[in-house]
Amino acid sequence: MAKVREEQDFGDLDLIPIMNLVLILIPLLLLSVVFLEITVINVTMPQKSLGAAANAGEPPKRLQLMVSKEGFWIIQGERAMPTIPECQGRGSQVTICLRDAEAKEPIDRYDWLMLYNTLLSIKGDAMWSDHEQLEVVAGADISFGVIVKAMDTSRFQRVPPGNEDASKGTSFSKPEDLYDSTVVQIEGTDEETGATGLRSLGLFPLVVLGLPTTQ
Amino acid sequence: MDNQEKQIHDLLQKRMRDKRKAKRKKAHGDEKAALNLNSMMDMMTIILCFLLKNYGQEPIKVLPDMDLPFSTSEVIPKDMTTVTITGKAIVVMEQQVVPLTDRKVDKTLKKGGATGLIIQPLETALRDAVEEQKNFARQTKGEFQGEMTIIADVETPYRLIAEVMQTAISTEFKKFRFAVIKNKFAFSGAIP
Repeated sequence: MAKVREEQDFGDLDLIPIMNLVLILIPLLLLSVVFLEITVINVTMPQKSLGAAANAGEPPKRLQLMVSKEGFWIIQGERAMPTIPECQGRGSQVTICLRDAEAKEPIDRYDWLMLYNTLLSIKGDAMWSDHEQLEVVAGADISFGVIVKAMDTSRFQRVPPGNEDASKGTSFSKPEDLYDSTVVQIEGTDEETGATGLRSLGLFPLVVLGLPTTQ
Repeated sequence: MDNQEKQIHDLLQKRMRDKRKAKRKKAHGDEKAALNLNSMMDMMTIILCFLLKNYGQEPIKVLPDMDLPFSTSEVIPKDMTTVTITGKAIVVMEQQVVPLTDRKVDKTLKKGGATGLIIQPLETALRDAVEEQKNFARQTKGEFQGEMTIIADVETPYRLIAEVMQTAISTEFKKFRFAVIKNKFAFSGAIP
C-alpha cells in the first residue's frame, strides 16, 4: 500500500523544455530539406593523344552531333548527313533546322522531335545498331541546358505510354507525343550494379563531349 | 428516545453531505489542469527522426544563385570532387577559385590567352584536389578514380564547360558527371 502511494506521488515528467527544443528543431530542419532530387549524367571528354594511339588501325566509327545556333548537324562516320541550305544562317552546316527560331528560351528553338527521330532511324541501320556512343560538339555560346537536353533526347528509345515491353523505340510525329512517351524496358543486366531485371533500352547513351567549335 | 434517534439521524446525514462535498471538491477543485502531451510527443519524435535522417544526405550542394537544368537521368550522385560554375565564379569544393565576367574567364588567367583551354587558378586548385583524392585512396587502399562532378548553371556557355573539363583532364581527372535536377522528359526545358 505504501509503495503504491510513493509511485503516485512521483507525478508526470515535465516535458515542456523538451517540447520547446523539438518545436525549434523541426522548422530548422524543415528549412534545410531539399525537395528537388539531384541526379547526375556521366560524360567523358576525349584525351587528345590517347584516342589517336588506341585506334591506329582502322578509323574509329564515330557518330557526331554538332549543335550550333542554326540547328543540328549529324555526321555518321565519314559521311555527313545531307544538309539543308535554307536554314544555314551564318554559314554553319545544318541537318535539322530550328523549330522556332524566335523562341525566347534557347532550348525551345531546337527541333528535339526531329533529332530523336533521326537518331532512332540511324540506330535502326544495321551498321549502327550496336553503337552506343554519341559525340556531342557544340558551338562556344550554346548553353549548358541545350546540351543536357540533347543528351536526354539521345539517351533512350521511347514508345507511347503502355507499350514499354516493345522490342525497340518508335518514331513520333508530334512533339506532344514525344514528351508523353515512356522509355522501352527490356530484360538485361545493369552494367553499373550488375543486377538483372528490367532496364531502359538505350539509343546512344554514352556521351563524349568534343571541344567547342568556333561558330 | 425519539430525540436521540433524530440526533443520530441528523449526524449521519451531515456526515454524508460532508463526504459528498469533499468528493466534489476533489473532482473539480484545487487540482491543476494538465495537458496530455504524449501523443504529440510521439508525433514530434517521428518527424524529428525523419528530418534528421534526410538532413545532410545530399552529396551535392547547389549554391543559391544558380539554376540547374532538368534531365531524365536517374544516376544517383556520389560524394566526390565538385566544381561549381555559377554565373559569377568557378567554385572548387566550396572555395571560390576563378571569378567570371559575363560567364567568361578573363584571358589573363588562361594559358595561351583568349583561345586557351587551361584555366590556371583552377588547375592549381584541382591539383590539390587530386592530391587529396590520391592520399585518400592510398590510406583506404582503394584506387584513385579521378571522378569529378560539375555543377553548372543552365545558362553556362559550352566553351566554359569545355575549358573546365580540359583543365580537369590536364590534372588527371578522367570521369565527369553533370549534376541535374531529375524530372520528366517534358520538363527538361522545352514545353510544347
